[in-house]
Amino acid sequence: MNDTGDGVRPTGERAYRDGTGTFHPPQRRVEDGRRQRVGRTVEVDACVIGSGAGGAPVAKELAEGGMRVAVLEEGDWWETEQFNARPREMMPQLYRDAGQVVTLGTPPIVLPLGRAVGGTTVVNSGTCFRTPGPVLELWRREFGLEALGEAELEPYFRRVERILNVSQVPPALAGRNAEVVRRGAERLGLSGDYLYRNVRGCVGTGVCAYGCPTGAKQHVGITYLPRAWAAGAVTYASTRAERLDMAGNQVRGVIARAAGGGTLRVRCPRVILSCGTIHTPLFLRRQGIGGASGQLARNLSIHPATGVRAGFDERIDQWDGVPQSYYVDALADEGIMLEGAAGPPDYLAMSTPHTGPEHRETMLRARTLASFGVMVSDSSRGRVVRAPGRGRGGALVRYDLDDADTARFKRGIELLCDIYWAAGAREVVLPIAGLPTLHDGDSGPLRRARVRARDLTLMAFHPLGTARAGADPARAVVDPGLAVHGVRGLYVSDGSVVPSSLGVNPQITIMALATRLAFALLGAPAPAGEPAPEHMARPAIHRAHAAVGG
Amino acid sequence: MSARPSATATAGPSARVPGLGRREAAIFLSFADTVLAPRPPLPAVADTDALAAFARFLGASPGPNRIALRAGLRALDAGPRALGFRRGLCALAPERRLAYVQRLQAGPLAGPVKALVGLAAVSYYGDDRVMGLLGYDADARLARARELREREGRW
Ligand SMILES: Cc1cc2nc3c(=O)[nH]c(=O)nc-3n(C[C@H](O)[C@H](O)[C@H](O)COP(=O)(O)OP(=O)(O)OC[C@H]3O[C@@H](n4cnc5c(N)ncnc54)[C@H](O)[C@@H]3O)c2cc1C
Ligand code: SF4
Repeated sequence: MNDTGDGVRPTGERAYRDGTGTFHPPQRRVEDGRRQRVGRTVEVDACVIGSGAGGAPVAKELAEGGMRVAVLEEGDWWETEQFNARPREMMPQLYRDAGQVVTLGTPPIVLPLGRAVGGTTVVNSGTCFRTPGPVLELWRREFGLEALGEAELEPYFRRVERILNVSQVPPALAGRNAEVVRRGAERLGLSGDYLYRNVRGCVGTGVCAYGCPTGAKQHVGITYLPRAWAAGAVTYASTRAERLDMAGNQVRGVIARAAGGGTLRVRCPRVILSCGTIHTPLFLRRQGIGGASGQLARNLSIHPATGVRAGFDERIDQWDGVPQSYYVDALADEGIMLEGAAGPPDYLAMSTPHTGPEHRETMLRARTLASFGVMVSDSSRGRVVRAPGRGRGGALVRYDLDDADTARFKRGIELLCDIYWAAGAREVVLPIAGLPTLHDGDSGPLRRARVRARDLTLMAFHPLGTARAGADPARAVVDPGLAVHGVRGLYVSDGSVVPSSLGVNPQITIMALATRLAFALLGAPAPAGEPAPEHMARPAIHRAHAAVGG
Repeated sequence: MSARPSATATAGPSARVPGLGRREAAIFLSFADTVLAPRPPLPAVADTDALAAFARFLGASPGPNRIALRAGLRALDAGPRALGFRRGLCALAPERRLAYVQRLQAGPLAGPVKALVGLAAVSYYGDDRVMGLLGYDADARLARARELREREGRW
């Protein structure tokens, strides 16, 4: 495919820009749950619940390994041509609860989750990092995850990266938003680089988080699932898994409800739960499963993040180019990463902190505004509980930002201000209540301020940890092989098993763990012969952060 | 399979949109006009499809959020009287409306008001004409995307 034949996979500009070579299965095996009005039963070898970063790779690998596989997905199947480059229109349709999931606590944090065939990968920014080595080492030490070393995971990472064509954003597509930050960081001698992303023929349309209309972003709905279909798997879209069918502590199947009203019964000896970090623990709890350690639905880390805007005298047009294309890792060892966070005007308007004429004036300057994000590898921890009165799917997320993370935000925002000033910004708009817009290179008001958690405007995109993996059943929900402790035939493959915050975006970690699980279920050795990437992101992370909160 | 979002007409102050009462629609328009304060070259909120977009957001929201947002709109209108402004939001002069909203933003209701401001902002600035004025052309992007998909056999 895109292997050079000498065991090295290109990851440069040509690989990034080449839009050919899309895999199309002979048959699209997606069943529309909206049309299913009557009951039916299917029998398979494995049922995967949830089709996102954790679910789709397992489905593909198991199907190619010869198993009969059913994938249940609550969200709809979307054709690429339905993505209309209008965030306002796409958000209510591709995001769970119209993008209005918000944590309870201080401060309230918007926590967007995808809900579609392909899960959150349909709306994510496409940034790809492997799990940092020190984080894996922390997991080994704290949770007995001995077999998850860098060398052991290497073949799985390679395989995921090949299927997703992970390659580096070329400067010409990175957009002026990234260009000003790169310029500022370089002037200050800070380390950073263009990001690696799962794309094939990206042209910088700038709307990755609202469905990529060019089909360039290699979300799992158009990469892994088509390969699964080619191997016989079926995706049941718009079909929500309601409960497990158990015989004692052995899984026998899944009972699901299609959006059309019909019941789908899946008979199978193994189930892989991939509903994502927020919904997997609630699904388990409803079944009365996985709670023995007392850790189910707890230990939630989210990588809280914020956006900082800067006004320049030059045209930025932040919606032109890849929205998340560059990162600065100068403070990565302190748990702070700076990553691009750009978007079209309506996205920008939504998070503009002013009201009245000030809001208007900011928006009229939109073409000269840059936006960049500060993401924190959190030591704060939250938990998930069922939302009363919201039926089976409703979740409440409880999360308070601790003092250490609040201090990280202040430090990260200060650094970003320095970068903006060095790049020539005129003003910087802070995401901190009570602080004025900064002007003329003066970060004094920010440096002098005592920033409290409740003053910060935050979002979070990477929930992890609510069914964490670990060798000790007294401290973990799933074992190192991702089987739910004490249950036969039930596995978890999604962000919930990741036992600590990573300090980098998690999709590749989740997919590599999913691939490893599938190979283990097939009784197969790690994949051999996967080409090594020519280059891969190497963020400057030399130490990991808290495994547990506080 | 899933319905494509439909193009929607603009909404005058007394327009009806599904999922939102006439009174709530008027409050939304008045609130959006206050917090976004559009002036030429930007069109008035009522001359865009912001109201219909807001109603679609409400329609896609989970039940409790929807109820809270609608109740929030009504409370916004009733609130000024409680704070001594003597009239409801819609009947206040524009400067008084802004003063009222800013008072709410400084108090314990800052969170919900912020959410409503965000929804009003995305509803208004997502209008094609408004985005076009700021330099964003969604249709041009889609035309390029279509061409690439067809030429290269992408999804
Ligand atoms: C805006 C945004 C940008 C992001 N950008 C990046 C990025 O650039 N790089 C990166 O690494 N990560 C990014 N992420 C995070 C990344 O996408 C997620 O961490 C990842 O997709 C999580 O995988 P998952 O399998 O845990 O859950 P998901 O991918 O969310 O998949 C879970 C699926 O399960 C379905 N489901 C839930 N319950 C049921 C049920 N009962 N029955 C059937 N189906 C069910 C859901 O509808 C959903 O589709 C981003 C996230 C967001 C929101
Ligand atoms: S920048 Fe545009 S073309 Fe590239 S992945 Fe994002 S939406 Fe697709």
